[in-house]
Amino acid sequence: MKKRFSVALLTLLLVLSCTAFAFADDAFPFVVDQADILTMDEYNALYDKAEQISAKHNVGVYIVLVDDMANWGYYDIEEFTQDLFEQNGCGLGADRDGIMLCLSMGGRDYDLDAHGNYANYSFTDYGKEKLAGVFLDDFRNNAWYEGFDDYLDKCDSMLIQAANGDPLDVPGSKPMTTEQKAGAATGIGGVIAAIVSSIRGLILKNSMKTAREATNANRYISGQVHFTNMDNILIDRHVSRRIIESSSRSGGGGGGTTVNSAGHSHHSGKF
Amino acid sequence: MASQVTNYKCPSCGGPLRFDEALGKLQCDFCGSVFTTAEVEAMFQQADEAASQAKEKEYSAGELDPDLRAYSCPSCGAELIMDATTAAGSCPYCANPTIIPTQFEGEFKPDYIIPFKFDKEAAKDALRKHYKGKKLLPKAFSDENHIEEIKGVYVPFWLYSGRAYGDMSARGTRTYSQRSGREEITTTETYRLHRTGDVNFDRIPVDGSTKMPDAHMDSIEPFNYGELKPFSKAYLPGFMAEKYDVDANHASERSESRLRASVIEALEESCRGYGAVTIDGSPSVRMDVTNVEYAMLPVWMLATRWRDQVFLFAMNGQTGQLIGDLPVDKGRFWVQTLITFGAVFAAIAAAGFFLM
Repeated sequence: MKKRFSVALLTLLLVLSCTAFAFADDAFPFVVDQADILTMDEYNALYDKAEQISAKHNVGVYIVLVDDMANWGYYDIEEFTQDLFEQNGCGLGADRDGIMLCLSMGGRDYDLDAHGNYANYSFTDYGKEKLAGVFLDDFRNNAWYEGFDDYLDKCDSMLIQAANGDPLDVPGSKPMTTEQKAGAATGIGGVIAAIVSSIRGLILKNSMKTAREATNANRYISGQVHFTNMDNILIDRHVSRRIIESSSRSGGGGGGTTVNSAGHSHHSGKF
Repeated sequence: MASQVTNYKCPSCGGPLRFDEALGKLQCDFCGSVFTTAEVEAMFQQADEAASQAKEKEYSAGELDPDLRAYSCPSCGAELIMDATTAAGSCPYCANPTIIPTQFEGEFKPDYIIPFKFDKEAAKDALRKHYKGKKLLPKAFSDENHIEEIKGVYVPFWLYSGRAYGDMSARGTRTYSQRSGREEITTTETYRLHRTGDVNFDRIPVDGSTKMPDAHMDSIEPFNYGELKPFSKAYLPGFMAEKYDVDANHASERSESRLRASVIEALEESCRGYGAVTIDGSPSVRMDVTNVEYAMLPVWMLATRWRDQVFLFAMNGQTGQLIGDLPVDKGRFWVQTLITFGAVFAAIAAAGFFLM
């Protein structure tokens, strides 16, 4: 088993590798580019935006780029991101609310990790799936700045939506009005009633006709079939291979956020 | 002139003799005397021989339908007009059971008979139960139905026995997957399958009468061949009987098609362990008939005419298996459909509203 370096040590290395930036305090930086993908201007622009959004909503919005998590003994991007978040005290407020986008360039793995009651409320499983949708196309074309910028804008709009009491979630997962309930109940009831009454009608009708011609003579076969030939000859073999992608735990059909025992929810995949 | 028809009458009092299902013997309607079938055979052997030799009444051309025969009842002298295939019945004037011995001679002599085990009352009860609970049955139909007219008929059947040989080619596929690192490897193997085999078949029944619908006769199977008895006309009094008008060669087509389906099914079942099996071409099945028997099998029947359609009921006179087609009252059909719709709609809509 590979020895894992402390992720806190990783943080130190990451911070030290960030060029020309001084922190106002010991807080984890909102943007970390250990993989050295971004230009200085791009880094600064993203950092300012992330800091502004985080302060506005009191939810830490983070971007982390590493060259390869395997260098730190990690092979699961969700585990890596979660440890990074936990061991560096990320998040804002009493509940340490935050959302972190972490990219491991070596395997082209990404993870969106939300922590804290409000962050998990704002970034549902469905919402994180939609959030990933705004940057994955950019990353596949190696348009890193554009992708991160879109990520930050989307985080801001999702946090605004959540603040209005309507977090981005599966359509239909919100409570229905009385009129909507009545309409849906009538429609569903009508369809099921039509199917059931048709089936019953057919059964009643079929019960009126019981005479049917026999299609076989099974009851008149005596003994077992005596087989004189049972050849099975292999004539073709076809082999196919498929790469198994990492699981992407996205929102279920019923809406909401799937939160693990440590208070984190994830959405990961390949970019 | 001697009659071609024999009446089986009680030697004690002259009353009509009828076969009693429960006793398995013939009983006189008037004095209750009981006789075995062997006794009755012996008693009426001479009468049967005389009837066989009696001349048929001659009619001028066009006077009688060629599919009908005319006989005179030996008891009352009444003229009986019957189908050419009718072999037993009763005189509509004096109610005496009538047997036409010539219909059971030569190639028309049955090998076996299964006597009736269910009597007329049991058949009527079964028919009433068949009507019960049929929500779509027109009320007028069951009111008008003349259940009393149900008749016991000995239906002519051919029983085929022998060996069948099948030959089938097919293709089968097997698919399995395994994981190697981050790769899933799926292997699909295709096999050519060839099956040949043979099997015995025993007494596949095919009715030998064009009057009997195949669907009805098939639906009241099986008969218990353990109760087959050597044929004797003494079992017939009180029932109708028909001789065959479809010979064994023509009737064998039905047995071949049923047997073919069974043999192919058995060959297909032997192709186990494959995810998908596709048959190549058409399997061949050859039927080698080693024995054909002609048997009279018991059936209770009632034909009812309603709104220009005939609805036929048949009950296996040995096992009680009853089938039949009933008319559907359209008005009742829609009433039942609307009642079901209303009830289900109310339940689902209410449940859905409160659960949402």
